[in-house]
Amino acid sequence: MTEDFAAVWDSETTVIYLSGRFDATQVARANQALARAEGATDVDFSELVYISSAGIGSLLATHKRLDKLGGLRLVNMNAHIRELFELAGFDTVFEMG
Amino acid sequence: MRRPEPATQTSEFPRVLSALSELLDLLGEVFEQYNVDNRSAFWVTLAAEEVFTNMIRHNRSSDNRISMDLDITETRISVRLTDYGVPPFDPATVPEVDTTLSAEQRTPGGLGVFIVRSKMDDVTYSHQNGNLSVSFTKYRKLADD
Repeated sequence: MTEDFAAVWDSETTVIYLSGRFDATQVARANQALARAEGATDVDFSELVYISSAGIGSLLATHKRLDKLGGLRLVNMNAHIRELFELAGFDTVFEMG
Repeated sequence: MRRPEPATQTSEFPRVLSALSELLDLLGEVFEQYNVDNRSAFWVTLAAEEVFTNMIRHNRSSDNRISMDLDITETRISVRLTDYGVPPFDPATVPEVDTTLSAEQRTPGGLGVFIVRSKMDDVTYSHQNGNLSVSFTKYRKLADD
C-alpha cells in the first residue's frame, strides 16, 4: 500500500476522483480538491486503497459544508473501506453508491 | 518455495506527521514480503496510523522518537508502538464513539481508538518507566481476499 495519493476534481462531471493511500499526511492535498465542490458531489473511491480517520474527517467536514446543497456521495468503495465506513457508522452519514 | 523467517524488527520515527509516510511504507513493504492478506494489511496499517498520530497529537511537549516493533509469523501480525517520556494514558478515559449520530453531530474524534478496539484481536496498553506502549495483534487469514 505505497501508492501515491491523488485527489482530482473534474469540473465537467463535478466528480472528485481519489486514488492511492489517503492517510493523515494527505489531508491538505485532499482538501484542495474538496474545496472545489460547490454542490452535490460524487467522490469516486475506485482507485483508493486506504483511508484513515483523518481522511474520513476531511470528507465529513466537506459533507457538512455542502449539507444544504446535497452533500457528498461516496461511490465505488473497495470492500475494506466500505467495512470501515459501516463499522464507524458513516454509511448512514454519507450516501454511499 | 522456502518460507521467509519470522520478521522481527524495530524502527524509530521522529514524532512529526510527515514520518507517518515512512512508517506506512515500511509496513506495506514488509506485508508484501510476507504475503500478508490484503484485509489484515488494511486493518493493521489503519491501527498503526491511528496510534502513531494519537501519540504525536497528545504529547506535543515531547521531542522523543516513537519506536515501532513489528513481529510477523505465519499466523499473526503484532505491532508495538512506544512513546518515551510521556504521562500515563488510560484508554478507559476515551469516550466510546457514538456511531449513530447524525452528520451534523459526528466528528472524527475518538475514531482511532474505536478502530483499534474493534478490529484488532488483542490490544494492550502499558506504561512503564515513563514510556507508553500500545501493542496490538491481528491474526492472519490463511488465504488472501
